[in-house]
Amino acid sequence: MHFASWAQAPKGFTAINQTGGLQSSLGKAAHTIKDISADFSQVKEMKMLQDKVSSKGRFYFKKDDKIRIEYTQPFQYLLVMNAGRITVKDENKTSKINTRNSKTMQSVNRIMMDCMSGNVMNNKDFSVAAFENSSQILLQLTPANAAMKNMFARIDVYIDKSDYTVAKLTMNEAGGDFTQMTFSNKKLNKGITDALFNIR
Amino acid sequence: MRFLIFASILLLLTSCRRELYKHREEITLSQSYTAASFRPHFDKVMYRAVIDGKIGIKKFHFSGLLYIKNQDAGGTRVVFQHEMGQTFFDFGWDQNDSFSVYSIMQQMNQTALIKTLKKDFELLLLKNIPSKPGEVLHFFKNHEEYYVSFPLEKGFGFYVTDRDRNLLRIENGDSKHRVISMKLSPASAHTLSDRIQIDHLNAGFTIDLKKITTDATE
Repeated sequence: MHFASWAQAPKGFTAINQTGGLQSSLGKAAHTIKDISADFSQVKEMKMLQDKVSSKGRFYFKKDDKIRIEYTQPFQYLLVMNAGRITVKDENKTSKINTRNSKTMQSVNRIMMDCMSGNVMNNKDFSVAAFENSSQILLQLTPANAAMKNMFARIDVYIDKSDYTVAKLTMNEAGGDFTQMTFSNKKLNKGITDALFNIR
Repeated sequence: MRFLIFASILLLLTSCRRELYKHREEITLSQSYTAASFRPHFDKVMYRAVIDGKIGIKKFHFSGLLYIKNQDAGGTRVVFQHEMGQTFFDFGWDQNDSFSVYSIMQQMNQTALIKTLKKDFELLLLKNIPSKPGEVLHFFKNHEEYYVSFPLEKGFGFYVTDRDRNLLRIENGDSKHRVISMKLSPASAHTLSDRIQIDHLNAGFTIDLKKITTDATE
């Protein structure tokens, strides 16, 4: 883990200089969370074009390593991560993604999984700066290697203090464009079936 | 000697290649057409894009969102992004049709691929096409179809319309050899079709575009 305590605090947040307590809280919360289901809305902001592309859908996480991201509007797209494998289903067909060949998918997979399992501060591909306000913790993940720098300028993970789950994820690109995923209607430990993570 | 026989057969086969537009009949239209006559007019459009192809024996399939926007200054931007937001490429043409690559992901940053995609979008959006039409053709076999062709750097761009001048297909090649075929769902003049199926006949890959008419925020 690389901890960047020097980073400037974003507006409305103050820096957390000692992250031991935070890591402990994230670990404890992750221990009690077996599954999460939520709605999400996604906005891709294109800075140069002064425009945005919006979509929304359903999100599911099940311990230890299952994620389902289901886009429902304005297009259908399903992405399932299960035991290190990624399967996607678009309008035409279902296909398995070889994560070894797809660094973008591999890294998004890892970040998503780390966020849900409380290990986001331990990702060696990023240096992490932590901030907080009264209701949220903000983790700023800055790429630590060339491969990651090629994909992201920075990833911001907003975590709700109430339950230590991810409220918002912002993936910033080098040119200034960014994609923001905001989670709502979160439900914890409701017993999600494994079938949701097996698609054909 | 063997080489000579092989070369002769090859030459014979090549010369026997079927003329694609052999029933064409030159027609004179009451008004002259330029590439700009067919240029689609729109503010912005978004397509669901699915790409299928084969490199050697290995098949590939991936999808994303294709966003096309005409800018106030007269240029056009084409952005292809993953469903989760990451930009695959961002291309642009200024008001003089000068092409720029604003960004492209490392895996796609190959000269041949950029050239192919540039050609696709220039055919579709009628960019960098000479203003004088090369010839106007009419098919005897199908009285509903009219061909307008424009000379390109290599070969011709053929724009196939119905009697009402609705664009049905865009083709690239010459009189005997088709390189790109774009099948378009019927669209009225000066609009981009809801469905565009691009087939790269030599390169062996297809791009299927379906217009997304609603935004999740609308």
